[in-house]
Amino acid sequence: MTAFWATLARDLLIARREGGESLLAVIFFVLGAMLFPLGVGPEGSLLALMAAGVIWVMALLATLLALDRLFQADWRDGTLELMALAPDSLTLVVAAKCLAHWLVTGLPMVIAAPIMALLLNLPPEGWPALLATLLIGSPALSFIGAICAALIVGARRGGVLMTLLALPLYIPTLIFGAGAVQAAIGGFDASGHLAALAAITLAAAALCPWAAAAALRQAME
Amino acid sequence: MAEATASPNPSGGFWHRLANPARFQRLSAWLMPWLVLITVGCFGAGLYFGLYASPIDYQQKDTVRIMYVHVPAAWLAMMSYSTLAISGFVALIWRHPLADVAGAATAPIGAVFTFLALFTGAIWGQPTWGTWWVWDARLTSVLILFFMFLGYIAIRNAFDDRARAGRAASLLAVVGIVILPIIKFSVDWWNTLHQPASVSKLSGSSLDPAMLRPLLIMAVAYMALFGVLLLLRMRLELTRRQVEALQMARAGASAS
Amino acid sequence: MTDDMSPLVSFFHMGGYWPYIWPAYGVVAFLLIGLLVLTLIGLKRSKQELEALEALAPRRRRRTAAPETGGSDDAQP
Repeated sequence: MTAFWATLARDLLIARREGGESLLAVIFFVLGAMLFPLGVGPEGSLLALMAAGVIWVMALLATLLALDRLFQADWRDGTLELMALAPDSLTLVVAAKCLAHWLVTGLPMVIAAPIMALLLNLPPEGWPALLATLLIGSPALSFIGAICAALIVGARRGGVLMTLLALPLYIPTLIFGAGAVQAAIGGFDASGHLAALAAITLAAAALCPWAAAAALRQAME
Repeated sequence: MAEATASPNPSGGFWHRLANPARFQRLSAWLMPWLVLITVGCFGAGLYFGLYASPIDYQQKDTVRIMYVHVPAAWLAMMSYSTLAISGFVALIWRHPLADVAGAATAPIGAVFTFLALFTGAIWGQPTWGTWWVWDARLTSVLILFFMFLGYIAIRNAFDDRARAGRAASLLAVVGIVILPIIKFSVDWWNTLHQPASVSKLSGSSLDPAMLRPLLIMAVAYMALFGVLLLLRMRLELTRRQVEALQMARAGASAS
Repeated sequence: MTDDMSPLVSFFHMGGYWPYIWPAYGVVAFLLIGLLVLTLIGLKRSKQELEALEALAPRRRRRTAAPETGGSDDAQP
């Protein structure tokens, strides 16, 4: 278990040293959302219809953007091989890296969500649901994305390929996440969606680190 | 079960003996005429029944005939991905050399069937629902499946090391098949456009037997064709790998 | 209108839906046959390449044969 905390601390420290680089994903998150009013027009009612979906899609894309860094740097300087050879479970190490990734990209997105909701004219009934879904669902994005990042580590043009691989896998999270917000806006009960979302995140947290570790070991054979 | 080693042991089990390319060639040569026979026969019968000797639908009239090429394509798309996942699983766990070959061979076949399901689905949609594309559960799931095939092909091509590419692709296929039911479930749940009752009955037995017949015959035809294509592409993949091995041996010999 | 069509023409007419049915069947045939043809062509080419390479290095599987190609180090005395 010490490997878990050690890796978590290390990754967080590296992220802090990199400073603004870690926040690039969040900037992309907000910037991308800004493009939608510019693209479809500023009409409030139209934006209100789209807001939940747009915010969630931007969350997916922003997470993918930051996922590149999850294993690539450690792969290049050989740290990943050391981690694999260490007696502690590689699965725990990967889980720690995912958690660090979420703390650095996912959590800031949750914090930025009210700004997004404002810019995109999300109806007030949807705001609590938006925060809840992003809080519950964004960890799933980090965990599921980790598998794709592990699969393509060391590949050429890995970043774009990883996006192609991850987007289909993100669809359930997107459907339930945005769906919960839409339901709340419509006055319906969103608890079913939230429960499904929570189930996805818990399953992802339990299974994805193991799958990602397997992918890393395959890469290092 | 004994582990398959890199060099097939001739005294091993059936699957180990099959790993020998020459033996695989002989088996596929034996199977091929039967598969071709079934393919041609079933396509002939299927087209006859589908285009001629079957009734038109009460609501959809003749356009229901598109079902006979669309639904089997969707079934084969699923079957292809399952093949991909199974071969990936076998490649990872038992390291059977033919499993990786099967995966590489299946991917383009699956992509074609998936595309056909989408294309015929769109053509079917226009006269039926008045729109070229509709975000119903099946078409959306098939569209997602199409991109999963593309992802598999892309990851195979992303590595110069063939072994690494095979392992990554195999793992991707296994992960994909696990998440696929979840995707399907969430898309079904998300879908708000309900298909007309006569089309949604496809999943059940309430389809008119006169329509079920061409559908099933075409399904068998597609499956047999899948078998033909799979065996041919596996032969192709094996031959290509042999060529590569010889080329590398020559390059190594002339370099020393 | 369909009464004065011959049976053959009315078959192709498909109740007016011919622009949908025939392209659908046509694309299916085109792509499936196309994949088959491409595979067969590729198979033929690969076999030719293989035969050409094997002709250049016939002793690949027989280590006892006299070295006619040279350059191979595995028969050092």
